[in-house]
Amino acid sequence: MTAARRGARVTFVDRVPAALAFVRASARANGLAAVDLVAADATAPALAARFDLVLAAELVYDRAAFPALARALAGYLAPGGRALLADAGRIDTRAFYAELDGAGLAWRAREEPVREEGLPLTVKLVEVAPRC
Amino acid sequence: MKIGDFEATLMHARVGDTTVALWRVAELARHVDRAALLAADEAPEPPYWAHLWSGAVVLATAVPGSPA
Repeated sequence: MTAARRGARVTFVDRVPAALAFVRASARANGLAAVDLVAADATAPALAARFDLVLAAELVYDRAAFPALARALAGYLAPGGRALLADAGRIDTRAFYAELDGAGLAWRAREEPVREEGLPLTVKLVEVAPRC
Repeated sequence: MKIGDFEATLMHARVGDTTVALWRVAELARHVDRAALLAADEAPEPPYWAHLWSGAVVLATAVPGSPA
């Protein structure tokens, strides 16, 4: 929603239609007339499009999906595109980054300390791009 | 206001130098299955997408200032 507020044309993807209904209402509340909504799993090849920027928060939570997620991410990036992922480490996600390597993607991370329900939490902000 | 099957509430989140309006599920605790909570170790929780995850807030702050 922040990207849309800043002028980007954004396609919102979630596998749950109810979540997209909230996105639609929030878009209106932000004065955004029309947004693209796609009900799909992020790992499913439901989008026949490539993107300059892919934003994904807390999407790395299922070990079994790591390979498909890395492949999907590689497929969604347009030439010169990049992704920003936020990984709050809800599970051990190290294997996911190995999958990014295997999918031909380079990545670099920086850690952002935050507080969640009064407790310290480190969110890894990861920039991903096709390996040159 | 109701969105789908959920009572909704409008909040405004500060993200860097801007404010973003977000409709959220109202009173998330109401969506916890109390009977299941008492009966099982892992009770059904509110839908994952209803949470404002910390990672989403960090990501929103890092969104580039103009379209990529």
